[in-house]
Amino acid sequence: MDIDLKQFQQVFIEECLEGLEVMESELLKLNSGSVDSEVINTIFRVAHSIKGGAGTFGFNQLTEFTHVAETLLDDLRAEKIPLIDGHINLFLQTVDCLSAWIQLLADDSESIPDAAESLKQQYNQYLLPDGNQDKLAMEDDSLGKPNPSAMKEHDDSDWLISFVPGQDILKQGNEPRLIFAELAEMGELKVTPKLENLPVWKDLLPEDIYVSWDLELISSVSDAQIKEAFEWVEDDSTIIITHPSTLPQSAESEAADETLSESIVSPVVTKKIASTKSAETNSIRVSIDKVDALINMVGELVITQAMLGELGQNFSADKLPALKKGLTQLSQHTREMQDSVMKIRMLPIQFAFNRIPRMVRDLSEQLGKNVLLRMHGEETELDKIMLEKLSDPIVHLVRNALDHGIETIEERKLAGKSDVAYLDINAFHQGGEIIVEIRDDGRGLNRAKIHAKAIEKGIVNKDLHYSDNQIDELIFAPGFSTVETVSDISGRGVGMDVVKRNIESLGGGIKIESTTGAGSCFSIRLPLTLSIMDGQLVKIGSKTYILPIMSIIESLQLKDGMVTKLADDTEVFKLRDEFIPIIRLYQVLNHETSLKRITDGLLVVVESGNNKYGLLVDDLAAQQQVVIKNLEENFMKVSCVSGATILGNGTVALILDIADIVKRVTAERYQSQHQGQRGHVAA
Amino acid sequence: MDNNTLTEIDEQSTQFLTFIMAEEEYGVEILDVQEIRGWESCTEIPNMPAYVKGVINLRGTIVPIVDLRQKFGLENIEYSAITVVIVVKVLVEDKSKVMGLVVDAVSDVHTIAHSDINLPPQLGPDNGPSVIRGLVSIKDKMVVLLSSSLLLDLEQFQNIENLNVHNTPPAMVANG
Repeated sequence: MDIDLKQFQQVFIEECLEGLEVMESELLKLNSGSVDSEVINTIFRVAHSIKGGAGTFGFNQLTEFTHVAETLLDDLRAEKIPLIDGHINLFLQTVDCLSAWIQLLADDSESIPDAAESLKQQYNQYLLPDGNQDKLAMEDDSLGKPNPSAMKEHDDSDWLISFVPGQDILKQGNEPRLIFAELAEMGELKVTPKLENLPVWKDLLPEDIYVSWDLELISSVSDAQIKEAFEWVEDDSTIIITHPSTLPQSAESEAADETLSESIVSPVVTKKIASTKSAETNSIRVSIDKVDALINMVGELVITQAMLGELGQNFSADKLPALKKGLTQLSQHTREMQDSVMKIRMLPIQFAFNRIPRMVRDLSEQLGKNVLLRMHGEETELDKIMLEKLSDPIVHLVRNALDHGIETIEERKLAGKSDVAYLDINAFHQGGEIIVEIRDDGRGLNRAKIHAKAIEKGIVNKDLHYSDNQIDELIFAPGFSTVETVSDISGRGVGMDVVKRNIESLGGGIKIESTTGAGSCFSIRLPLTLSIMDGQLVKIGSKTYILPIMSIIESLQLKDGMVTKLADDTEVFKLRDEFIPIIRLYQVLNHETSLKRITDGLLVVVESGNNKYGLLVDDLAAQQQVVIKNLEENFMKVSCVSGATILGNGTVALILDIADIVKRVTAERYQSQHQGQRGHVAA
Repeated sequence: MDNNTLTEIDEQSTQFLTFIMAEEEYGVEILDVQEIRGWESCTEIPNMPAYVKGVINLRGTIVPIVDLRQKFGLENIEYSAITVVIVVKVLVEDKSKVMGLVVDAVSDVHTIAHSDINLPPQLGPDNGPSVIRGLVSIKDKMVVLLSSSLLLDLEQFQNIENLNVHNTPPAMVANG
């Protein structure tokens, strides 16, 4: 039984963390003065289920702590005391403290966060002045570890408990044995089973419970504490607790707990059963809708398969139209199924946005800035892995915007802006990509300062002229920071280059637009998923390669006289106002080419690291979605190639890594130049 | 009875799959062999040594194909209908890797006692681990046993290649 509990503990921890996230976001919705009972209820429910779970797993101090918070929430809910800002702050701190606590539990540590004790005192302050003293004192000793003074008030006494469990409690994952074990810890317990309701053997269902019990407990505990042991089963069961000196009292009379446990009991318990093998970080919660869609699709696929199978068994020429129809259907179903499977991995970007409101609230308070956060498109879906990796960069950018971008209230007044600064975070789809924008209406980037700093740090050459855009890009250079005093919020100068690198490792990019005095906008561009991409099939000689469509800007055919050769043998051509270097892919990849002249081929203009390049290919073939396969798994990292995929005919095609090709070509040019110079010297 | 079976399947013996290349017989441990396939054309990988023939799609995984003849510096032959690819699967640094080896033909399966395996003769300087695990003679014929894990370790593979490259005079530089 111990092992079982250990398994569920992981689920408990996951659920607590989830619950705390809900609690936090709900808390941020609260305003002092106006009490939205629905919001308070949600927060209460979270606190309550953490308390209940903690009790089940024997984390008594956690139970005790959450109980205090719950008491205050209960008073607020009942409007016994008005909600003030102090409460919200206190609850927010509680959320932090609890998540630290849960983390400790997850690490199997028995220690308690330092904040817990002081928070508890703060709670008591809020609770005491409103005449809740009696209640508190009563609750206090009803907890797992009653204090010694309170203990003396009760003499060891004889409790009689009649426990008639609901028939279904075993199915819900409740285990009477555990309840008894909990009671046994409180004192001396005597259990007498009553078997009179036992059916005849053939009617007995193993999942149902037929036994009821009479319990005799000799202990100093209060009846509330006994009731807590029955917390998860009290809805379905009849529990009568009798003290020799009091009248029989049924569990149902306690109205407050009852309504709540109703909504909590079943989900917690059933989930425990569902995820016995839960892997900590690699699990994913999928909505039933998505799974249903998938099951539907599989059903359709099976039907189509059966139809085609029948056609094939006695095929004749007149069945050709039916066959064609069936095949069309098959390809349609396959595509739909692929979509549904991919959707399972997709989660709303909300998960990456979760931390932001709290952070904006805390930081703007700390910095004395008045910031209004507006978020749009939280429902935009993104691959789970990407989401996890996106969270930190977004947080970093938001911190930067708050710290560097947005001015203090005084500065804003001087600049003739409104006191309230706006911070907009938008997520949306654009052409098969996801764009996340973080836009502030602050002071914008200080280009003169950035430039000066970059010169000072030796990042750029001071004799060269840089465009505004190029200067803006400098903030992504490693080791760059413009703030004189390093704050603990941002500005250690390690961030932006890491942000950029992280996003690029996800196959995306980041851009800045900034207007002095009017604000800046960082836009992150990401592919929808890491495992499927839109590919452009190109021919290089007789070989087929794939270019990611995401990096292709356009393709064109060169005409005579468009190509100029520079001194270092680099070929460039003029596209509108830009000179774009040409990379002959067949040279880079060492393949034969069918091209006799450069004008016979096609030039695919791609973008890599804010620069454009023209890749010369023999021909363009189809565009299609390709599933990215790893080459390193069985082989090794191959230069110029980012992965492989399997084409419709079953053969493998390699996906070109444009950034790597550019790197290789640049390195080769440098080398040949270098060697060339050496050659001159020798001559 | 029991004693007999015990000595027959001796703990100290291993089964090897042997194959032919240029009249010589080579062997790899049979437990490392995943399957044997006929030769099929594969997708070339750019800028690779000639012995890396490319990659194939093996039921959804990308598997590299290496020509052992070329790898061992034997004379090239045209691939024919009987040319086979031995697909080996081995743990390399805790990860299982799959690779196809192109050989002339598959020969036999032998149970070889460890005591019968002779270490390869050491000629010249020690160049680190050798892909040759040992030599064994079966019916007066010598069989070269290969270590599949070292065959699969491509980094290692390339190092061996690089060693050879460095030993030959650098023709390009001489021209310049």
